[in-house]
Amino acid sequence: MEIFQYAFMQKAFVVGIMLAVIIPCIGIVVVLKRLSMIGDALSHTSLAGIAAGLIMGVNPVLGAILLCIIAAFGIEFIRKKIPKYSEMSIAIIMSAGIGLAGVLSGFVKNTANFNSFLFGSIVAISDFEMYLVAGISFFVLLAFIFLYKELFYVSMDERSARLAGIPVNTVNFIFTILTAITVSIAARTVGALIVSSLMVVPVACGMQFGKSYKQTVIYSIISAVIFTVVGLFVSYYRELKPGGTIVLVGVMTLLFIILTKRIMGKSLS
Amino acid sequence: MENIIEVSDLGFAYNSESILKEINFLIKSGDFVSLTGSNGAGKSTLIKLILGELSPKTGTIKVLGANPKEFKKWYKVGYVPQNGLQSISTFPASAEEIVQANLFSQIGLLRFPKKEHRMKTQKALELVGMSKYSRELIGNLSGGQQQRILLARGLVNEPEILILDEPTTGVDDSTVESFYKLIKELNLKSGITIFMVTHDINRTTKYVSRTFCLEKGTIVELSKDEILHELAHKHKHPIINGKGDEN
Repeated sequence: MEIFQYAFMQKAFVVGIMLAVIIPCIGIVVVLKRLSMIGDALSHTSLAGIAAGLIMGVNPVLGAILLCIIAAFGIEFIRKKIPKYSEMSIAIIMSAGIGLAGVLSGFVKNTANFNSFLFGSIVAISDFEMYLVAGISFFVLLAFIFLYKELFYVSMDERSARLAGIPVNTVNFIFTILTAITVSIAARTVGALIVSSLMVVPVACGMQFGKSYKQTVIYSIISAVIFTVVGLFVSYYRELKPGGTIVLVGVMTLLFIILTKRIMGKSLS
Repeated sequence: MENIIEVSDLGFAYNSESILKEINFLIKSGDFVSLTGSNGAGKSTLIKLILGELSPKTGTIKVLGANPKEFKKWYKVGYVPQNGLQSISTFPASAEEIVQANLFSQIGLLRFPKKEHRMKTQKALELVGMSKYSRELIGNLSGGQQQRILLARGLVNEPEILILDEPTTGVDDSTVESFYKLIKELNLKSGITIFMVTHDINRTTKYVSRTFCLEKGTIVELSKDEILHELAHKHKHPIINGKGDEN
């Protein structure tokens, strides 16, 4: 196939599929903890890290990871300080992140490079970034597998999880770091503005079919991989932006599934 | 008989507002105790103190002989949370997964469940009459069935005491009675001590061995005769007569 003759497209598929495997792993916990907006807050904050990285001449993905981790802990810190209005913590950090990104972007010399992070640039990934994504994906996947039952219980009921002996604070701490680094590397590929969609949409699809938590996780990963592969194909042959195309393929599929289920449900009843 | 929960001269306040004062009671092994009281009487605060989430301002609490803050063997305490149905009814998990989650202390950190853990899960589901629904998505079950799954989760570690916080909230009326019967059966056959927070004193009185009433921060134990008298004459304790705030 013509599409696979190009090294940049080969890299795009490898990186895209790796991310499609780990993003729903984080996404399912985020969705079940009713924290869907956290992906948005972190991805917007990652822009400030990207800008800082570009200004200082270090890899922008590393800058994004660092700032995302700080932002994630900032959210946890504020949430504990104002527990009755905990959702405010996400809005505060998101505003601070956007504000900082806006100010720092004024100092970035190569604005085209900075703008590529807004909607992603999966086809312009360097070898270093590909290896970084591979390493981080491996680490996140391993952590998710080993913390599978702990994350499951903590997402369902923190109090009962604590009584069962799960070190809830430690699990939440590790999950915060996993979320921050996943969002940072995903921002490079699908773009900071749409990363949270990729975190939520495949999980929403998985939840339409899953008869258990395990099945929901597996279906969410399969959905994300399909959206990524189809999105890359469509974007290549139709000359569209890959990040946005991947997300739109996901959203359209979700709408199709929901409508089909509704129509079939009505015809059965 | 072993002391399961001992509360002595317990006092608690949020900032300067006193919530509980001079609370004294003892729950012994094999008891089936219900705790009632109107909203804001301090029932949830008392549960949080027993579970070690809050520290008493005065007095002491002992759960299985230990201070809850230092207690490590929480697997000996089964817990069915208030509004548990709200959190699990939309959760994409099977009945089996929900019950097995509570076996964490036996499975261990960063380890995977084995055959023995799956068997224990099945046993707990059998105990509440839900074994044939083990692979069913929790959201596909009725409110009463979901509550039985939460009960199985509380029982899976074969605890010495089961704490139920308003367990029939959100459960349809027709299945509430059979739920109480099941708890009573567990209490009698397995000897599990039961501590149940409830508004439903009308129906629970015939099942429980002791009833505590929490009012204005203090606790009183009511005899069955007192409860029946109150139910018949409808005065003194509004909560007994069903005039207390419903959740």
